[in-house]
Amino acid sequence: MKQRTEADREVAVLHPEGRLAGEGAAALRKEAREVLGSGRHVVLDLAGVKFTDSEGLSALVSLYRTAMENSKAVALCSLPRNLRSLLELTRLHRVFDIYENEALAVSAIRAGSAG
Amino acid sequence: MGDHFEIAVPSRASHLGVVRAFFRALCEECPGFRLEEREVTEIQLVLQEACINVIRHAHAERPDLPMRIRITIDRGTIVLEVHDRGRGFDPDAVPEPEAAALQEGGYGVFIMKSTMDSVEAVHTGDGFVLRMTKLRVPARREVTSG
Repeated sequence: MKQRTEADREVAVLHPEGRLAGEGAAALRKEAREVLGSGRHVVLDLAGVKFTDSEGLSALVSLYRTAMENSKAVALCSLPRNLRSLLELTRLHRVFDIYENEALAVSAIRAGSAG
Repeated sequence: MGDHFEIAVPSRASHLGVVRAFFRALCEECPGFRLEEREVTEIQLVLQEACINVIRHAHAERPDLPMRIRITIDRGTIVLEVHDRGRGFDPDAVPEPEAAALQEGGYGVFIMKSTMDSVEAVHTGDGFVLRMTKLRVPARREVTSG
């Protein structure tokens, strides 16, 4: 899975691409841990994710837990339809703050209304 | 009786793509397998979760052992069978994950049970079969007036 990260002093936007499963899920965990460890909030732009399995869901929950432990916020945005369905199926959509696009997610975090 | 298709792959995560591609190829190449893209993705995910269970549990110590995936489809059902050499498990005994409690694991079996109409444990002489069945929505009949 490819991953691109854009960050300023306050918020990092992660753009995972491909499969959020197996190695892709592990890569997301690692990247998110580093970003949160550097003291930034996280926006996860999931537009480029083509396939997600239970390991990918586990990585998302792990990211959320790590953020809480670091008193940081996490917001998801630009969810593909299949990932949105999977979050609804597992009721994880009630856990995450989910936005239509990156701009809304970043704004919410800056305003303190996400995560 | 429907048509049967079967593959066997080593029990390694690096081969999960082969299983997903196998199912997609059936959908694309076999006339009786026509499914909507949403259904293809859902069933690929179910197969992936069943195979992850084999890799993590039944064959965790012996990844060289093959897991066999058999797919049967007819007009009314899709049946997925994943064979392994393990002792098996009872899918009904696996509790639902608690998302609100930020549970990190346990979503795989829940996804299988939620997506398919039935998930059965079948113990065989040489291992275990997880048999998962999905009822297909009958093709809509064309309605003509007059």
